[in-house]
Amino acid sequence: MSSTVVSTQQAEIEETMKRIQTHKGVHGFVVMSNDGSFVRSTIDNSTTMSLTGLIRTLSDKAKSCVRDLDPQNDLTFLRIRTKKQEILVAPDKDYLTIVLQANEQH
Amino acid sequence: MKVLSNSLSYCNTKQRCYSSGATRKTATATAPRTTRGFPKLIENDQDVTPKRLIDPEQYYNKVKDSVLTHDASSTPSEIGYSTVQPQVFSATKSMIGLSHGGAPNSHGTDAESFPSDHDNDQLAQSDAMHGIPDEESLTSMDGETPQPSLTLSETETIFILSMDSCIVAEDATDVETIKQQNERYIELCKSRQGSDLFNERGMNTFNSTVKNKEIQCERINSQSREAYASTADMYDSERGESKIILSTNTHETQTIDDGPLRTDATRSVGSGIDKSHGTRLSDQSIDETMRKPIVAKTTNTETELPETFDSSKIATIAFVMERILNLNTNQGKQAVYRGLTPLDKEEKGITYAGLALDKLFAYSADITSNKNVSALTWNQKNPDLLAVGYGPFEYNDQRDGLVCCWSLKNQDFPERFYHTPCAATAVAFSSKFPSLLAVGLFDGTVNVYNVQNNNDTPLLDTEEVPGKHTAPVWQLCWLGVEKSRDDDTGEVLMSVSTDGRVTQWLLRKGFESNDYIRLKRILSKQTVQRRDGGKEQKISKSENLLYRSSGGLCFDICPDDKMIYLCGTEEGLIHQCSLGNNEQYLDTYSGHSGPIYRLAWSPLAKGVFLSSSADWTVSLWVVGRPQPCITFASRKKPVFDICWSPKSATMFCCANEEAVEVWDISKNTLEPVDVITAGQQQIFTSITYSPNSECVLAGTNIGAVVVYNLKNLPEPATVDQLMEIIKQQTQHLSLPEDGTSKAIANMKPKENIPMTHGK
Repeated sequence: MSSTVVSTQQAEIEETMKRIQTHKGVHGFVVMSNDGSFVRSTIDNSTTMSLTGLIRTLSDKAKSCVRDLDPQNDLTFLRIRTKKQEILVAPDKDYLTIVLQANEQH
Repeated sequence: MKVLSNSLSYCNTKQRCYSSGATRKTATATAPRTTRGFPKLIENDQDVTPKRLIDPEQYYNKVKDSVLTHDASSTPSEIGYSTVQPQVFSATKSMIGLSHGGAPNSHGTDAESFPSDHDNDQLAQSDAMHGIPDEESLTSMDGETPQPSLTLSETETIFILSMDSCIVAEDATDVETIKQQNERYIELCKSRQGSDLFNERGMNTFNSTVKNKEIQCERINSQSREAYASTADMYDSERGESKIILSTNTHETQTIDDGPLRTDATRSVGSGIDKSHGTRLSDQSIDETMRKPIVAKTTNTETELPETFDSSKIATIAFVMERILNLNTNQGKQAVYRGLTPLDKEEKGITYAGLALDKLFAYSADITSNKNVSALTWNQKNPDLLAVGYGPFEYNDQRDGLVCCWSLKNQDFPERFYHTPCAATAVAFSSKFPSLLAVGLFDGTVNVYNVQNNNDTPLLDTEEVPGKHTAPVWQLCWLGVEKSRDDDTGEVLMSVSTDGRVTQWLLRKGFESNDYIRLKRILSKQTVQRRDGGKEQKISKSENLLYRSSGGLCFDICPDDKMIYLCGTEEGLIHQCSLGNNEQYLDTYSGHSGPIYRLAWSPLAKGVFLSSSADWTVSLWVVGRPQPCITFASRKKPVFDICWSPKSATMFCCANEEAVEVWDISKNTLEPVDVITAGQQQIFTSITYSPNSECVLAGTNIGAVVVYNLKNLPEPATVDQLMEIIKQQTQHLSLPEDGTSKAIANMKPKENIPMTHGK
C-alpha cells in the first residue's frame, strides 16, 4: 500500500514538474543531486554542467551564511535576478532545483 | 672530564633562590650539586679547584630509576636539560634536589678522574625534563665510550633542617611562652650583626663553561590540521547532527613546508554518508574562509549504483518552486488582491468612475475545465483557502464531480482535488476543525474530507447511514453545539436536501443523523388565502401523502440567534424555523414564485435577509413582515447566488445566470451599481465575497472561478442606513397591504408588479 502511495505522490510531483516546465516564462528546469550529477534538465548539456557547478557553490555559500547567522535557521530559497532572466534556486536535503524564468516585461 | 652543558649555570641561579616562609636551611644545598665536572682552576700551577662538600656517593643510591615525568610544570623543575629549554619553577616551592646538590658528583678533587658513567648519572639525576624520552642516548661529540641509557628523574627532597612555622591561636594556653620566644628570636636577629656568635661570609659558585653540542635526530614530521567550525557546525555537532564527515586525508606525512603540494580536501557529502560527529576538517592551511566546496564524488559512488531518481524527495522544493513561479508571474494581481499597490504601474489605467469590478485572475486548471461550479466556501482558519465544488445542477447531465481547494498562491492548480462519484452540490468547511471539509453530493451523500492530504476517499461519508438523504444535498453548514456526550466533537453538520428534510448529522464513530425538521407543504389556511386560484388545486393534490414534503434548497442560520434558521423551498416559500422545534414552522414568508436558490441573513443588520430565486428576483425581507420589503429585479434570468458584503450594510452581489451584479441599496434599488456580463460561453453560477480582500469571486459553468476586484468602493454603509431605507420602502408597502400581498403571490413574473419605487 505504501508503495502505491509513494507512486501516486511521485506521479503528482511529476505533474508538478511538468507544470513548472510549462509555466509562463520558464526557460529551463534542472534538478541536480548533491553529488553534482543532474537528474533532470531541460537545457543543453554544457549549460547544465556549468550551471550546476556554479549554482551549487553559491547555494552552499548562501546556506552557510544563513546558518552562521542563526544555526536554527536554514536556507529555503534563493533568487538571482539578472538582466536577462531570473534564476530560482531551491536547495533541499538531497537535491537542488534550478529554474530559469524570463523577467516579466511590463 | 666532561662538562655537560648548561646545567651548571642554571644550577647556580637556582641556588640563590630560596623558598620563602620556610626556615629551611639548605646550607649544604648551596653546593653546586649538579655540576658534573668542575673546570679545573689552575693558578700558579696549583690545582685550586674547590673541593666538593658533599660526597656524591651517599646520595647516589637514592636516585630512583623513575621515569621522567613529562609534567614538569607542576614540580619545581630542576635545571639540567640536555637540550636548551627554559625552566619553570615557582618561587614558593622548595628546591627539590638542591639538597642533594652535587650528590652524584664524585668526591675529591679528582675531577678529572670522574668515570664517565658518573657523569651520566648526574645527568640522570638532574631532573624533570620536558619530553625527553627515556632511552635517549647522547652521542657525544668526542667519540668517547658509548654511554648507557639514561634515565632522568627527580630525586626526593631531602630536608637537612626544617623548622616550619606554625600558627597559634590567640587564646591558646601557651601563647605567652610563644610570644616570648618570638621576641627573643627577633632580638637575636637584631643582635646578629655585631655579635660574635654569627659570622657572615660570602660564597661564590663557579659557572661552568658552556659547550655546545649538536645532535641529530630523525626527521620530525609535522602535520598541520585545521578545523573550521562555523556557528552552524557547532550547533549541529552539539545536537549530534553533523552532516559532514572527515575528509579523506591523503597527506599524512607531509610537513608544513610542503605548501604547494597540497591538494584540496575532498569533502564527501552524499546521500550515503554516515553521520559522525565532528567538525569539518580540511587539509588546507590557507585561510579558512577560502575553503572551496568541491563538487567531489562521493566515495560511495564507486561502490554502489546511483539511486534512481525518486521524485518524492523533491516534493517540497517542487511545491515551493511552483509557488514562486506563480508569484513571479502574478505578483501584480496578487498584490491587488491583498490590497497592496502593485510594483509596476499599469499603463493601461482604466479609470473607473464609480464602483467597478475589475477582473484579476481566475482559478482554473485543466482538471476543472468544463465543470460547473456549484459551491464556494472559504476556510475558517486560512482565509486564502477556497473550496470549490464542481458539478452540474441539472439531473440530466450527471458526471463525476470534483471538489478542489484553491489557494491564492497558486492559481493554476488547486492545492487539493478530490474526485467524487457524482456532482458536488455543496461544500462547507468546519469552523471547529478547520481541516474538515464537508461535501454534499447530488445523490444525497455527505462526505467529509480531511484537506490535510489529497486522498480521494473521504474521511467519513453517509453512504451506509440509514438517515442518508435521498436527493441532492443543496446546502451544508457546520454548527457548534454543546457536547451532549463525551465523544461528541462539539460540532454538528446541518444539511438540507430536496427530499424535504433538514438534517443534523453528528460525527461520532460514523455519521448519526437527526432530523431537524421535515419540510412540509403548507396546508394552513393562512397560506391558502394568500394564494391564487391556481395554487389551490395544487394544495388539494398535496394532501396526498406522496407530495407531503417539499424539497428544501437552501437554508441559513441567523447570526444573532443560532436557534433560528430560514429554509427556502422549491415552491418559493421561506420558512423560519427553530432548531428545537421539529414540527412546526415559526413563520413563513411567501413572495417568490419560483424555487429559492439562496438565502442570506445580513451579517450586519439584524433581522434582515435576502433571498434569490429562479423567478429572476432577489428579495429583501425583514423578520416579521410576511412580504418582501424590497425586490430587486434586473434581468430575465434566475439568480443562482447572492452574497452580502461583509463590510457595507447596503451592498450585496448576486450571480445571475448571465452576469455578476453588484447592488448598493443606498444608491439604487432598481439597477445594480455595476454589472459584469458573462462571455458567450459561460454563465455565472455562484458568488462569494472574499473574507480578507475587496474582491468578489464568481464561479462559472466552465470550471473557472473568476476573481473580481471591487474598485472605488464607497464608504461602507451602516446598518442604520439600511434600516432607514427599509423603513422608507416599507412605508410604501404598508398602505395597500392586502392588495400588494395578493400581487406578491401572483405567479406572473415579478416585473409586472409595481412594487418598489426608486428613492
